[in-house]
Formats: sequence, structure tokens, C-alpha cells
Amino acid sequence: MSRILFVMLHPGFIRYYEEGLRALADEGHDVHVAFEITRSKLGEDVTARRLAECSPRITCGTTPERRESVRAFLARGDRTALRSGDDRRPATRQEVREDAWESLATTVRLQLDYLRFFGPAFAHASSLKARARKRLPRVYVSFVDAIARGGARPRAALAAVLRVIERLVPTGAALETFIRQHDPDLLLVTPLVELGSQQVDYIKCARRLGVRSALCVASWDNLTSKGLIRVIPDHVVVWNEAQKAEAVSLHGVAPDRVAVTGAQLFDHWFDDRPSRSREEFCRMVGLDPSQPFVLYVGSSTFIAPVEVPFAERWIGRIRNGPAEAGRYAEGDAALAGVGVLIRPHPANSRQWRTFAAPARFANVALWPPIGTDPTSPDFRRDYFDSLYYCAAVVGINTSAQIEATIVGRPVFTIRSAEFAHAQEGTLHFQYLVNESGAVRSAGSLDEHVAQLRALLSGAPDAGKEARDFVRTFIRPHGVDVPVAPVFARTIGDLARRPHPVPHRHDVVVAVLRPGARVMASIARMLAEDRPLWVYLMRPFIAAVVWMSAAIYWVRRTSSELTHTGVRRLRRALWRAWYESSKRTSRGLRRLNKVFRTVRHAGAVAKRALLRAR
Amino acid sequence: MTPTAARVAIEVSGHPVLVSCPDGSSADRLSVDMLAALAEARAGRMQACFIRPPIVTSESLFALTSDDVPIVYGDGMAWARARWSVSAAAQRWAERWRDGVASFWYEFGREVRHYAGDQRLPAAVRSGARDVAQRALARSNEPAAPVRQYPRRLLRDRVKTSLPPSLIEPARAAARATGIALDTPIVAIDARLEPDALSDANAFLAQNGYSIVHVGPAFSLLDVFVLSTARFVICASIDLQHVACLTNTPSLLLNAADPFIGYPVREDSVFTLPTVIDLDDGRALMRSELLTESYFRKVRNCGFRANTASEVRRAVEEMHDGVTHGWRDNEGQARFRTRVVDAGSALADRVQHVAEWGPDRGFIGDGRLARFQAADVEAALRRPSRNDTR
Repeated sequence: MSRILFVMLHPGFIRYYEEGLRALADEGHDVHVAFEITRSKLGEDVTARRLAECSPRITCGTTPERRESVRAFLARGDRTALRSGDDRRPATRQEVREDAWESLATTVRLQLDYLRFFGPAFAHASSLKARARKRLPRVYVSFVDAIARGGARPRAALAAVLRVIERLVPTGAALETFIRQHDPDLLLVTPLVELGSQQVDYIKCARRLGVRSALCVASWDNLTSKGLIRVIPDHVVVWNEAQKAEAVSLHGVAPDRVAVTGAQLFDHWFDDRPSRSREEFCRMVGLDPSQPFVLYVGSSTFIAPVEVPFAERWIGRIRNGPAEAGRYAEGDAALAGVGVLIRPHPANSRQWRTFAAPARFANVALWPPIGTDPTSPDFRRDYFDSLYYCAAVVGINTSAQIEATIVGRPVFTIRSAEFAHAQEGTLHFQYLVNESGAVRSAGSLDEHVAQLRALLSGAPDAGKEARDFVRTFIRPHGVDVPVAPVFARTIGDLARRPHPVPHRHDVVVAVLRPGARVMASIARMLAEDRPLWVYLMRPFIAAVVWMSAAIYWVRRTSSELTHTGVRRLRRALWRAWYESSKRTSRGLRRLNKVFRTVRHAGAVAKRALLRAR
Repeated sequence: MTPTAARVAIEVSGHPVLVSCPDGSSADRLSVDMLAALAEARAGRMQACFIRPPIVTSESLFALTSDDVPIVYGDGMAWARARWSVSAAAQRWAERWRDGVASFWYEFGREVRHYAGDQRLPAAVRSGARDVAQRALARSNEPAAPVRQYPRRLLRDRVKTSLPPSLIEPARAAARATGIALDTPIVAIDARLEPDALSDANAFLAQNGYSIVHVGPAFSLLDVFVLSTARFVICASIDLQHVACLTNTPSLLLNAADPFIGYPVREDSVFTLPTVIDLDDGRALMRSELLTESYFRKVRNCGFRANTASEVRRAVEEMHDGVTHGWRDNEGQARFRTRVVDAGSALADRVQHVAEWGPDRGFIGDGRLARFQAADVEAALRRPSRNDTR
């Protein structure tokens, strides 16, 4: 069977592929999942451990550490940060080179990602464009803006230049070694399209080494709300035909390279059954079991940074009926007692601490409580129960609306000016609300309340649209065909194909790379996002600092030398004096002895002479 | 929003004229600029001249005239316009220069500081680099353009304003056409306010014979007319509070973002604070905590719970009481004002937001925190608490 290396940005992507990976392991493939960065915000580390434990054929690990991650690159451009020293100062010329290439690669990728949002498809995506713009060092922003405003041709020309530069950027030796060590039959990467993503290097490495590569598109918004597939892998695995069209039209992937498998992450929604009765569930979350309830599913931070006031307004409108000229009409009987269950988005739950509706309105609850561990088994079970037992689901723009559609619940959304960036401003939202979408959209709260009222009064349900949506968007191979085995079969087929011919550097790369090396050094510098005059001033400041250091060292050395010389001289003199004084005193003593001897002899002689006289 | 437009005093035909070009990009900027210019002109016994800005979001506000200060308009006053342009350009360039110098020292400090942690350098050089960097960073703050403070003292006293006679009749006609009863007292309500939050207050107002009219945020002729004639206005944000200052309408600001930005300048105005929630632990912050530096440091980590319908009603009752029986502070309100002034004076050096919106030479405003909230503050201050950061 085949060896598959799956490179994920972080363990959070396991949730998209868990079923698929298990199916691959069941078919006998050996899968190694490698994470570029670790993350534990929503218990992703626990998920990774659980995945590794589920089959001996699945192993988890990390990718080689990069000299500079995209996050570190962005941190270096933070103008408000005051840093002393540099923890990751390159020690060798090789490291200096690698740093420079990493900076150039990230710069080029961020520019390409920003440039794509000037295209006509993104005419309303101002927030997506602003997000891409924010990541790009400011020194490039006006340059890209100026060219992009020139029209499609200048944009295409700039994109072509940036793609050539991307080709010139070499991949790190560590990545090649990593891939060689695992010797995979197939390299999978996800998501690849994050802004400035460095996963491109894995695709480039795989090409060089003759390893087949594929991008697994993780979610329904990946090809429209993030960056570009900058280097096209051998294959792209997508959910459905709509994503295939996106890959072809927005990313330039050849249609025959795209494989449509379906969305394997939703498989369990088709098989799950509620874990408790409706009464038990309602009592647990604090709702009246005798009344139907509507589930409000929260959206992510980017989609709904401030969602609580809207939800409170929505509840008020449900309870009090449509507003007319600033005053409420009589509440509608069908809606007056309906329960409301709020389910915050797991990554955007903190803001719900300000949610005060349960205190103001009866039969309103928030579940699960904020801070609940999203990896706990209860979390998913409660979520399914809430979808299963609710009468309708309401949300701004979230994948929970897809899950509700699978479970067979009517799904609603309200177009609101405060979320225009996330509704009209994103392409993936259109899949929910267009003619083949399953979500009923309202232009105002009043229209939405009327829709809800009609539903709760027993109006015919638009179930056919929902089923069609599930068939085309989630399970294109048939509503009854689970996707994970299809995914595993597709990946297995790709892995069994012969290895592609390794790419060798062409003449263009060989000729242009020295020039690109200079560009890389400049990109490394400009990533700091400082005013240009700082770069001009930098050599002078460096010269002054190092001259100060040199002067200091000279002074210290001379001072040490002087100090040592004087000390030695003094010691020598003292020794000379000491020794000479010793010698002198010894001589004197001897002389004294001689003198005394002579004197004694004289005295003896004198005494003898006197005695003789 | 704070910076007010440049104002230049010149003489035209022997009469002193204060020339100004208010920022018309939003209604509140326009209001503050116009009001500041009118107040300064009145203090200097000058005429006021408003040069038309390139964008005017509310023509009706720009058209307001004053009984206290004669207004001459910029059209045809080429000399005044030229003088103002030169003065404004000089001010702009001076600011740019100061910003440039500040930026130089800041970047120089950052650059030198980099060497302070370079282990390859001798310790003496590193500590020297650190000292130089500290000095440069300190110098970067000196030349930076000073924070433009919200001119509380200037806006304190009323300057009578009104719609020009030519616009009053069309405004009345528009009011009649939309069914506004001009013979009953009017309360203007910010159209952005949630009807749900106003349900109790609406009942109280209706009970007391007020008719309710929604205004803003475009500030059409009808909106300005309604504001001018309303007994008081209930605002959802400081924009409308500032416009109400220009039209001399008593205002109630609900859910002010903090005690400094929302504190009303005029005696006939009241504000309320939302319940501030620490998003880390869900704890509701005490109102006295909103006057501490730590709050402004972690404000991004806080969420706001809007006033409930009953709280809004209590604030509206206080407004009704004020416009009917006159304005007076209770002990709690007076003490809260003192605390805001003290906290503002202490924080102005350290928190830019407070420097912009805090007390103007010891004056925060003659308005007040709503009585029911001031009572809470008093009660909280008397109650010893482990979390109290007093």
C-alpha cells in the first residue's frame, strides 16, 4: 500500500479530514500527518493525539522548523514594537541566505494574494481585500495599488512577474530532506491558500523530487476568501463542482487536475442520532419543552466580530413582532412563546458573555456555556441534539448552516448592513442563498420574522431545495454515498499513479537567480516596514555603534596592556630592589662579619701585644 | 473626531471676523467646529465666517444661523478665504514637520535600541545604546503635535442658533406632511436606538403627552427642525449629542462608551453608561473601575451590555424632571463628576483617549451621569470590595 505524507498548517485541520484519514488507514495506507505550527486554542493538540491513537497506520508529527514563519515575518513589520537584539540572528552565510529567500517568498506571496482581490469577482469583497492589505508590508501597498488600479492588463503583468520571482525562490534543504525521509507516494497539503502560506514550498520540493502532490481544499470558503494557489500541485481535491469551477476560474487549475470527492467532514451528520429525548435536552439547556425553539448559530470572528447586539435585536423582534414606525405591533401568537437557543461559535464565544437576553426574555438560553471544552464528546453530541430538535436554524454566515441543512432543518439568514462584508462581501455566502442554496434569506428582520411565522404556522417546507443542496454541495456522488471512502479511494488512486518526472532548474532560473538573491536581501530589509530613510541611515548608525565598540575594545586593551606593563615593571623593580637589597644586606652582613672578625682579630692581637709587653 | 478646524481672526472692513472652515465630513464634526467657532467669535466680539468645506454631510446644519453672533458666509469673501487657507496650510505643515521630527526620533530610537540587546557588543556599549535609545524615544514624544482636546470650556455656554427664516416654513411643511404634531411637546429619538430598549420609555413619554419623533443619522432639514423644537433628544451615540449641543437641545446619551467621551458639557444633559463586562471572566466592572488606567489598557478585552428598558425609562424620567422642574445634581452625581475630573487629570498624561476627551483645564462638563447610576456608584464606593481598584 502507499505512503502518504499530509502537511497541515496546524492540528485544527484534522477535523476536516479525520474521517478521510481513518478511511485511508482502513484501506491499508500509511499516513503521516505533519503540522507546520502547533495550536491548542480549541483543543487541537488533543485531537491530534486522538488521531494518532486511532490507528497504527496513522502517525503525527511536525514539519521542519522554518527560519522565519509568516507570523514571524509579520511580527518583524510591527512598527510599534521596540526590540532589543535579535534572537534568531543568522550565524552562517547559509542562514543569511535562507532568511533572505524566506522573506522574498513571503513578500511575493502576500503581494499575489493582495492582487487577486482587485479582480472583478471580488468587487464587493472589501473586507477580504483589507485583510490581505493589512498583511502586506506598507512599502509595497501603494506600489501594488497603483498597478492594480491600472486595469486587468497591468494586474496580469504584475502577477506574471511575481510568479517568475516565486519560481526563482529556492526551497530549503531541510524540507527536501524531510520529504526524502518520508519518501511518500503522495504529498497532500492543506490549506495552502492562507495569506502568504509557506506550504507552497512543499509543492515545489515535491516537484523537484518527483513526488506527486495534491491540495486538499479543506472548507467551502477556502478558494474564494483566502489567498491564491500560487504553485499548482499535480491535483486539487475539492468538495463539489462549484469549488471545481472556482479552482479553474480563480486559481488557473486545469480542469483535469481537479478531483471532486464531496465534503467528508460532514459524514457523521448523516448517521448521528440524538443522544437524549427532546424533553431532556430542553430541560438541560433551560428551554420550555412544550414550545418549539429556534437555534441561532454564531459565526466566526471575521464574519461577526460584534454579533451579540444583533442577536438581541433579533430576539426582541421575534418576541414582539415586526416593528412599525418605531413602535411594535402586537406580538404574533406563533412566535410569542417560541424558544430561542443561542449556540456561540467556538472560536468567537467570549463576546457572548455580554448576552443579556435570557434575563430579559423568557424561554431564551445559551448553550453550551462559554468556556466549554470543544473537544469533549458532549460538545458535539449537544450540538447535534440542538440541531435535531430545533424548529429552525438562523445564522449570519457559518458552516453550521450547512450542517443544519444536512440534518434537515430549515435554515434562515438575515442580510444586515453590519454583516455586509461577510454576506455580500464574500463569494461563498452566495452558495447558501442563491437559487440552488438551502438558506432562506431575508432583507430585513421584519421579513425574516414573517418567514419564521409562516414556518411555525405549518407552511409547506422547502425540503426539496435542501436535499438538492446537500446532493450538489456536500455529496456529489450521491446523498447516500459517504464521502470519506470516496475521498480515501481518490487519494489512494492518486498515490498509486507513477511518480512524475522531477523538475530540474531551467536556464531562466539559473540566469535570474543571482539577481533574485539581491532582491531577497532587499525584501528581507523591507519586511521590517520602516520608513525608507531608516534603511539609508542604518549603515551610519551601525558604523557609529561598531566604531564605539572598537574604540571601547582598543581602550580596554591598551588599558589592560598598560595596566599589566606597569604592574610587571613595578613588580620587577620591587623584585630587583628586594633582591638587590637582600644581596646588599647579605654583603653588609658579611662585611660586618669580616669587619668584626678583623676588629676581633685586632683586639686579640692588641691584647696579645699588651700581654707580651 | 476631536481636532477642531483651524480658526483665523482677521479684519474685514474694520470689523473683526473669525474665519473657519468646519469639517463637514460628519454631522458631529460639523456641529463641534461650528459651535466652537461661534463661541470663540462671541467671546472675542467678532463676526463668524464659515468657509464651505468640500463635503457637507448636512446642509441644514451648515445653514444654521445665530442670534448671538452675526455670521457672514465665505462666498464672495476671497480675502478671508485666502487668509484662512494660508493659515490652515501653515498649521498643516507645522504639524507635518512636528510629526516628521517625532518620527525621526522614534525610528532612530528603535534602530539604536536594536543594538542594546546585541550580545556581540561590549556591555558598556550596549548600555550606552540603551540610554541613547531611551532619550531618542522620549524626544519623539516632545515635538509630536499636541493632542487636540475636545473643547469643553468653549462649548459650555449656549450660543443661540436657529434655522434661517427661509427654511423654517419648508421644514414645518415637511413636519406636517409626515404627521408630526407640532402643537405637542416633542421628544426626538435617535433612529438607531433599538425600539425594544425604548419600550418602557416610550410608554412613559406617551403618558406625559410627548410625541416621539425619530431623527438622524442623515440630519435632513426636518431632523434639524425637530431637534431645534424638541424638548429633549435621546441619543445612541455622541454624534447626536454634539448636534444637540449646536441646536441647544437637552440630550440624554445612552450607553456612552466611557465616562470621559460621553460626559455632557451642558447642564441640561444626562448620560448613562452601559454595563461593562470583562470578556475573560464575565465579571461586570464597577463604574468606578471605568476611571482607572487599567480599564483603558484592557478596553479591547471588554464587552458592553446596553441599558435595559427599565433603566432607559429611569433616565428618561430624569430628563422629563429636568426639563420640567430645572436641572440639579444630587450628591452622587456631583461626586461622580468630581471623580471623573480627578481621574481625568491624573490619566491625561498616560492615556491619549483621556487627554482628548477628558477634562478641559479641570472642567469636564455641567451635565451628569444618570441619577440611578450615580446612586449605584455611591453604593459601590461605600461597599468595601476585594475587586475595587479605587
